Formats: sequence, structure tokens, C-alpha cells
Amino acid sequence: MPRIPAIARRVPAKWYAAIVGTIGLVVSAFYGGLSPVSHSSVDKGRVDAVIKGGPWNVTVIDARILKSSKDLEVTKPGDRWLVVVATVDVTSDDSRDDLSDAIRLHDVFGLQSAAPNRLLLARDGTDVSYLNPGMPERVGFAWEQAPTAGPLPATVEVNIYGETLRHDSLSGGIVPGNLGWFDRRVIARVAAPVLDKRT
Amino acid sequence: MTAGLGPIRNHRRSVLSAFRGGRIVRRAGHALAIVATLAAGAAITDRTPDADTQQHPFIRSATVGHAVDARTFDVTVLGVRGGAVLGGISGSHDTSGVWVLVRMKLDARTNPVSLGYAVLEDSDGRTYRATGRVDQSILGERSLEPGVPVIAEIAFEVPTALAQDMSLRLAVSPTDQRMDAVAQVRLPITAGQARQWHADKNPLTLAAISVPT
Repeated sequence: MPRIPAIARRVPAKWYAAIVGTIGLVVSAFYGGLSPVSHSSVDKGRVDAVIKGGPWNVTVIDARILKSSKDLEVTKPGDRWLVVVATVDVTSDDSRDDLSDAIRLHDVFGLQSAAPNRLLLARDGTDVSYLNPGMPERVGFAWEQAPTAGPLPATVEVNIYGETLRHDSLSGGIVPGNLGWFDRRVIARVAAPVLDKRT
Repeated sequence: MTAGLGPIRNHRRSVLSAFRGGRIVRRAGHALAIVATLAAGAAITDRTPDADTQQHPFIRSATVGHAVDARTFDVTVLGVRGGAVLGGISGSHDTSGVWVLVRMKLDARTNPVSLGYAVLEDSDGRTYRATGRVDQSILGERSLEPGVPVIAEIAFEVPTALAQDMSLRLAVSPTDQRMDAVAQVRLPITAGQARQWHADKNPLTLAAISVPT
């Protein structure tokens, strides 16, 4: 058993704690532990600018208010459609059917649900099931909105979400290749102009 | 007296040093055993196939005109055609790429089975699902009965530049093909054909599901 020097035995334990804590702070400082923390990690995006992410890149074009029609019928009489038009380019290696996860509206009231009610292909108005990699398409993300939401705003804030391709830490992921898209988060917020297309 | 104890002390010292030497050798042996165990573990881990390899699907390949056994069903690709516009109940559907329509014979082997997974895969491993823009009841909805083969056509939308680089892949599960058979057939599309299809604006009509006579 090594003998502890007498002087070391006289040093109070809290001094040791202070020394260890100081060393910890110094070490963490080298790895950014003392860097200032950003209060808002959401980047401001611009209309018509590509927001690069995964498994899709999104370019917000505009937002439109539409009235109910035969092809786009509201479920509650009097409701209207708030449609965000965006170009979506699938960057993953497989066709995606989860595009409704790509966009949410920020601080918009009177929506029937947080997720868009319909996703429509601008090309022919069909509902989007899959979008293919490397084949960008203009898509309308449509929310049914109650008229009680108030007057039309000049702009709406659109949150663009991205995910990370990685192995599932729990199960190893699902096919293909045991990799999956996880950690969905807002990567940018775009203020889109609102166009009233009801007339 | 002290002089008489000299040899005894020397003896004790030599026994003690021999004992200490044995302890050092023993400790070194323990350390070596731990290192050897860790090295063996690392070697085993390195040589064990990863999850991707262990759980990969079993690809069964064939060429056009030849049946391929996908464990629960057989498929024979009969032909392929394409164009720029696909007709449907709700109207015509254009594309930024090209429509590829694959005609095939499907035959359940022993039990009723549904086709859940139909993709075209390019040489870089990117997959393009059968389109959802038109009704394709052969996928998921229709049950294939053993002994009753059907002929069906499935439509895909792919980039024109990659159309000559596609293989059809079919399986039962729409989401999980791990450790299951996947039928694969390389499609005989040329770059010239793909360009011609891209320029052809005559709407294609997906053939109805039929029973071969």
C-alpha cells in the first residue's frame, strides 16, 4: 500500500474537488464547452432558395389561399385551404413516402392538423405517394384552415425539417442496409408570401 | 552472533526475491491473458459479418423471358416498354423522366401471396418505387393464388439518363426484405430507347391484369 505523504493528508478534500473541477473545465473548453450557446438554432431561409437537408432538399416558392373545389374539397363547410408550394428533391437513395414530414407551419392558427392534410403534385394534381430520388417535383402541401383563423397574413413562416442517415442504435435499423433516417429536426424557417387565389 | 545469522538472512533474502519474482511473472501472465483475450475478441469482431451482411436479402436473378424463384412466387419478365405520358382513370400523367412499364407473369408457389415490393434499382443502388400516381392493384391489393398465374404490368417513373441502367426487384414485404428472397431481373433498355420514350408523348395505357391462356 503506497504511503500518502503527510502534507497531502492535511489538504482538505474540497481542494481536491476544486482542482478536479478546474481541470474538467479547462479540458471541456478545448472541446467547445465554454462557447456561447445560440438561443435560436433555426436558420432563416429564403423563398426560392434551396434548403439542403436529408432525405430531401426543399425550396419554398410561396403560400396560397385556395377555396374548396371539386378536386380539393374541404371536410368542414366554410374552411379554406392554405397551400405551401415547394420543390422537393429527394436526396436519399430510395423513393420517399414521408414527405408530409418535410414541412410544418409555424404559429399559424386554425389548422385542422399540424401535418398537411393533402400533398398534391403540381404537375397533375394527383396526391403524392412517393417521390423518387433525383426527380425533383413541385408539391403543394395543403392544410385545411378554419375561417376563424382571422384575416390573411402577408406571410407565413414555414419550418423545413431534415433528418440524419445513421444506424438505428436500438435495432440496427430497417432495410435497406440497416441505415435509417432519424433525428428529425427543424433546419430552416422560411417566411413565404401568401397569395389569395380564391377568386 | 550477528555474523552467525548472515547465511540465514541471505537465504531469506533470496527466497523473498524469488517469491517476488514469481509474483511479477504471475501478474505479467495475467496481463498477457487479458491482452490476448481482448485481441481475440477484437479479431472475432473484425471477422464477424456486420448486420448488413448477415441480414441481406437473397437476390435471385434471371434474365428476361426466364422464370426466377422468389421463394413464395415465381416471376417471368415478358417485356418492357416506355413513354413520356401515362394514361390513367383521372387523366394523363407526364413525368420529368420517363415511364417504364414492365410486363411480367406472376405465379404463387404454394400459398396465396401478395406482391408488396416492386422497385427499379440502378447500378448505384438507388431504388425507384412503382408509381402511386395510377392505380396498380397488382401491388398489395391482389392476392396471387397458387396454380393461377397472372400477367400484369407495373409502371415506374425513372430519370431518363438512368433508364438503361435498371433492374426490376420484386418481393413480398413492402418494407422489409431482410433475409427474404428478392427476385431481380435486369431490364434490356438502351439509352436510345430511353431518349425515344422520353420524346414520345402518346399516352401509354397500363395493361389490365390477365390470366394466361
